[in-house]
Amino acid sequence: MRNAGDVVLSARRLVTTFDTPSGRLRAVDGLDLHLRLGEVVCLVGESGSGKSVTGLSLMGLIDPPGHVTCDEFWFDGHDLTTLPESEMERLRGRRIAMIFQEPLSALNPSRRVGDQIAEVLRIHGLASRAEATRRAVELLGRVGIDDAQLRARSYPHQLSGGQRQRVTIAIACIGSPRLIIADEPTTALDVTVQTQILDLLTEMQTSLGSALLFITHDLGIVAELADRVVVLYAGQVVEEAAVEDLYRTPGHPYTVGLLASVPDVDAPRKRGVALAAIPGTVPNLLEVGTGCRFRERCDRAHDRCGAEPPMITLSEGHRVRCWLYAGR
Amino acid sequence: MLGYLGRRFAAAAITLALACAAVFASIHLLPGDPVAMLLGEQAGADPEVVQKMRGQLGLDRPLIEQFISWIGGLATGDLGRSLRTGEPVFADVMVRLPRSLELIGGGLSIAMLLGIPLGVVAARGRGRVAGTAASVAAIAGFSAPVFVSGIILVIVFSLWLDILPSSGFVEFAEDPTMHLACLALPATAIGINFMGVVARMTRASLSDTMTKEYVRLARAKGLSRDAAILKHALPNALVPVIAVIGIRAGNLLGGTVIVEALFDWPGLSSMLVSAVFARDYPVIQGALVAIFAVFVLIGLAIDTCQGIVDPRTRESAA
Repeated sequence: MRNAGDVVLSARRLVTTFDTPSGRLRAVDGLDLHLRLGEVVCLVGESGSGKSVTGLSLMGLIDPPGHVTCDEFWFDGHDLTTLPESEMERLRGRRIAMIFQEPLSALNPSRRVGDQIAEVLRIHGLASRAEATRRAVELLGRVGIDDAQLRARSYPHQLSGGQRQRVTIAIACIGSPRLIIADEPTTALDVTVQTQILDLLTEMQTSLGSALLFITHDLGIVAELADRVVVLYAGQVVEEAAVEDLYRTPGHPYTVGLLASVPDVDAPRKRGVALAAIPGTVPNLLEVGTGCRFRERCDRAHDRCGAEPPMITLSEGHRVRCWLYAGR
Repeated sequence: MLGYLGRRFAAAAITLALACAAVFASIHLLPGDPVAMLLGEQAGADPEVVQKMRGQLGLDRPLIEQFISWIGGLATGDLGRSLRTGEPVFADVMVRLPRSLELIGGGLSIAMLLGIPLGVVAARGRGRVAGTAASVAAIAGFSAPVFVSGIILVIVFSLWLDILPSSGFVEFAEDPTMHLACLALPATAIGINFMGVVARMTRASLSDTMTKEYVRLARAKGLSRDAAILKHALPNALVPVIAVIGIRAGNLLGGTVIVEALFDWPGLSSMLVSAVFARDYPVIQGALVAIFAVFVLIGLAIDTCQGIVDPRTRESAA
């Protein structure tokens, strides 16, 4: 896999299950994912679609009662299906990093932010204490915090929401990772700050040359950010495409519905016409049987949808899991 | 930090002043007459003798006058004289207070030394054998009354192993080794009892803190699960545990009666109990004021600890 050029992560049939009192829940069910250095891939889905669990599964941070299996799982030349936990710890923070949704809860309230950034270097033995502190301050300046020297000595509660997220971006970036997983990093922020954080994130990703897996439910962000989009529904990939293809010719009825539910500010406004919404909710993952998981909510469902739909390649890099395209 | 400590200190002084007034008031509301106790039943029947005695002891003056002279004495370290022995109360308190503090300090140290690791194991291994065993040990610790665990300690360490004295007291200056040997069992009895509380608090608080996002981020940085728990979750989890330990430590000061009696340890609470039976007002007041003062000082120490551990307290606490 290492020779496949610039592929940094490649997972085939990733399955994450949780054993609950009412049975085994398949939060992620057979996900295929390939990420290349330098690209931004957006993982899109509603709440409960398994997108955050996917991020944690890739990080190897699923704890019991959760369990991850994968047919093939390569990261940066390491076979993660056989890699012992102690080796995985050496990759985390240094080669693969994560940014969380809520920066305030993601930062330790009783530690100075500078120390929390420097800690990454200390854990991996990449720098002495003084050197780590110096680099943390330097990076704090680079992520757009004024007075970095002073701010490094602040505690998280003394910073604004945007500044805190800049700190967690610095934590993710200081080890120069090959892959950054960002789980809805702008959801908890003001709209004005969101754009700044997105710009910062892509800027850091570009300068590091790493891959960015951006988890979101916000299709506006996807259009702005993504090279490629993976649409997740009830733990399964239902469509995967380059961002232009997805917006121009969405294949799966779910994707079509998602795109239709985004208000289009350029279109002439029609009074009294409600914004399109997808009826119903994501099915209970304990109750999904066989067949297409979207069929209950799908306006194009037919008899064949009772059977598991195949993944069909529409064009180069554009795949969709739907019977509508079978036999074409 | 200094401003924070200043505010805590002022609050402590006010608390102590109010406590002194409450001590004085509540004792004079107690039923029973010290003079009658002192004179015995026969003499108590003679009103003239009783009156004379009251005059000698200053008990015939109005309460407010008694209070003012008591407070005045307090300020100069004069707590009056014992009605029974005539000895100065202050000197007696100063002899006994350190012994009680030593007992409690030893007990608390043992409680924390055993209780915090036990709580960590219980929280970390929830649903596993080690975790369950730790929880059971914690519950056993605080379920056993001190007189039971104390007697078991005596049986094991004094009778069977014969390595520690079963009771008694020797001044530290006289024989340091013997002093500590005498301290070991009573302190352990208190410690084991209190260990359960510390372990349960640590477990509950840590179980909650372990699920915090910053612990997950610590692992995403490359720390192992255990290292993330110890370095990031535990310090934050201990903040409420410290607070509870402080409150309980204050309570212990008046509550070591059983242990002091069991191990013949001449501390403050045994002094207080015998003074209450004798209605020896100055001694009761002196002992209570000493307990309050220590209580307030412990509170101050706890606040200081919390201020150091949790930077948010320094700003929010008025």
